[in-house]
Formats: sequence, C-alpha cells, structure tokens
Amino acid sequence: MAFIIAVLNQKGGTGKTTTSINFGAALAFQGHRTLMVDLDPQGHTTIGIGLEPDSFRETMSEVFTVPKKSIDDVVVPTYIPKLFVAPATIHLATAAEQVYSRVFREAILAHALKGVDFEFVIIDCPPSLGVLTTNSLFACDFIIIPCQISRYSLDGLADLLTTIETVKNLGLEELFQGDHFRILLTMFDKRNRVTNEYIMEQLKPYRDKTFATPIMKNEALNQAQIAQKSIFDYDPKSSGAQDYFQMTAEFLEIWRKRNSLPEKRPSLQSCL
Amino acid sequence: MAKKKQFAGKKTKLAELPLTRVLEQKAEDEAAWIEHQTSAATGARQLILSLERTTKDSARRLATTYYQVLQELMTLQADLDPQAASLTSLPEPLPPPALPLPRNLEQVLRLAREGLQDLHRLLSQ
Repeated sequence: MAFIIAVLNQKGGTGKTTTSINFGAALAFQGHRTLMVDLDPQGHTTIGIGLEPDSFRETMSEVFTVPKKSIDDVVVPTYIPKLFVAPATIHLATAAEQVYSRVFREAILAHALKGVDFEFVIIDCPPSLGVLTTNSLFACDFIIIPCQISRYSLDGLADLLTTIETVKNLGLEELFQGDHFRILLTMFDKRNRVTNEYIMEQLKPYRDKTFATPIMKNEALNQAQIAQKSIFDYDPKSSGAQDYFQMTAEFLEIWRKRNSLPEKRPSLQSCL
Repeated sequence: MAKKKQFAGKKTKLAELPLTRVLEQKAEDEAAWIEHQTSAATGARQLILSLERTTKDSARRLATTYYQVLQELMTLQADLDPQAASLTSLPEPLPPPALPLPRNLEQVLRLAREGLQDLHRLLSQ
C-alpha cells in the first residue's frame, strides 16, 4: 500500500513544488517507486520535471471530472527511473469548480489512488484551501508543510493547522501525538538573524514537529527549475541537493519508525 | 527605538492557536517534571562544589568527595607508573564528624591537582 504525503501550504511561494520535485527525486534515487501527483493547475511539478503539460491527452482534470477514473490512467514516467508523475494543466482549475456539486467530493483523490502500485505518492497541492487541497488532506497519511521564515508564513501555518484538524477530524492532542505532519523551513538565510530569532521563538512549541534540516536559500535550486531537472541532476554538490537529501533521510526515518522497519542511512553519493 | 523592541507584544495567529497553547503547556509540564526528577534523584546533585559557597555540612561532603577523587587518581597513577605512585602518600582521611581544617582541604586539593597533572603527563606519553 502506498504511503501518501501531501506537500501543503495555502500560502504561495513557500517552496511546495521545489520540495515535491526534489523530495520525489531523492526517494526515487534511493530506489523507492514514487509517484508525484500534480494538484496545482499551474502544472509546475509537471513542467519542473521536464514535461509539457499540454502534451497529454488525459491529466488530473480527468481524474476529478470522470467518475471512478483511476490515477493509473494518467500516470507518465519521468526521466528519472522509478519517478512518475500524474500531470496537471490549467484545466484542473475548471475541473475543481465542477466537483463542488458532487457527493463525497473530498474523497475523489483518495478513491483514484486506491491500489496504486507505488511505495510513495507525493501530492503537490495548490496554494489555496479549496476542494483540491481538501482532497489531498483526505487522502494523505502525512503532511509536509514548507514554511518560509516570515511573519505571514506563521499566520498561514495557523490557518493550515486548523484546517488539518478539521478535515482529518483530529482533536488537538491527536494532531500533536500522532505523527501527522512536519514543518519544513525553506529558503532559510542565516544572515537574517533578527527575523530568524523571532520566527524560531514562535515555532519553539513545534520543534518536535519541524524537520531538523532547513532548506537553505540556494541559487542552484532556482537554476534547476529553469533546467527542468531535479537538484540532484542539476548540481548534486549544491547545498540544495544536500539539504533535500538530508530532509528525505529524516522523512524515511519517520516512515520506518511508523512501519517498524530497521534504520538505514545511505549517503548521497551512493544514491546518485 | 531598537528594531527588535518593536516586536514586543506583536502576536502571530500561530501563537494564539489552541494547539500552540497545548504544546507550550506540555513543554512546561515536561520541564517541571525533569527538574523535579533531577532534584529528587540524588542528594549529591545538590552538593555545592565551591569552597566559598559551602555551608558547614556541605564542606565536609565536598572534602570527602575530593578525597575520593584523589584516591581514584592515585590508583590510576599506580597502574600507569608504580614507581612514581610509591613516592606520593595520601594524608589521613578527614574525620567525618568534624569540619575539615582549611589546611587539610588545601593539601587534598593540591594533591588532586598534582595527580591530574601527573596523569595527563603519563597519558600523553
């Protein structure tokens, strides 16, 4: 059974797509058969991995509009072995509007993902708290919340945690005690000392729910977007590659613990 | 006004979230529990290891502790260099019921320091 991870934050520009692509690539490079579901009508995960969204006959729009459509029908391979994508186009925005009238509209994605042959499914969510995001929350086993070091990000995080609590039907204690989410600090710049201190103080109660590895601000990550490649292919020696590899290792530890599997710590070099 | 001072009283939505309050309370409870466990675990942890700050009772425990440290050092020294160890002798143990004389404490401390220096020299050879 696939382990489903939603990469989610209703605030835009927090690094959701960059995280989805590089986290997905890191899992695939470590031998895990991984599917990235592009749930953002902007289709940036699809573009970011080197594919042209308009070149596909069927995409995530069909999964949401055609009843009982399996995600397997729209999955395509990427240039990275073991990494696949369910692409999205701008039509997904219209499809999302259409599903508002359907019964069990929050469960469409969960049904479409039933029985897929992948170890991990990563859902790149749109920057909103609409029906697409609710679908991913409903379907997922774990949530990664990319969060920038800024005051507005913290406000967004508060709204998001409230939504998670409601959609997952969890009490406060359950939300904390169960391993449901991790905050991932992105675009971290050590030089912004005063802001960093303030934000870290605010996040103090959440330190056990935050990845120990922050993703440092790194120009290579921007360049990899232009090259439409994962950071491990574009510049495996960059800090971005190291950070995403470390963050993936942390995630795998959580996953192994949850599944009572033995610890394993491969090096970045051995995976590439 | 200093830039940082202007942050005072500025609360984020996150700080006011019920989950944040639950987590803060949990952290406070854990910290209080750890502090309680630490202080209750052993009386030795309460020993003030500074001669200037000692009370009548703790001075005796302090001296006894230093004496024990010294004994351990002598044993180690004997293992590493039996000849040198035979040249050094320990003063008589301090009588437990009485407050140690300052000169006895000084002697024990001096020997402890010399013992540590010898040990460092022997280990680095």
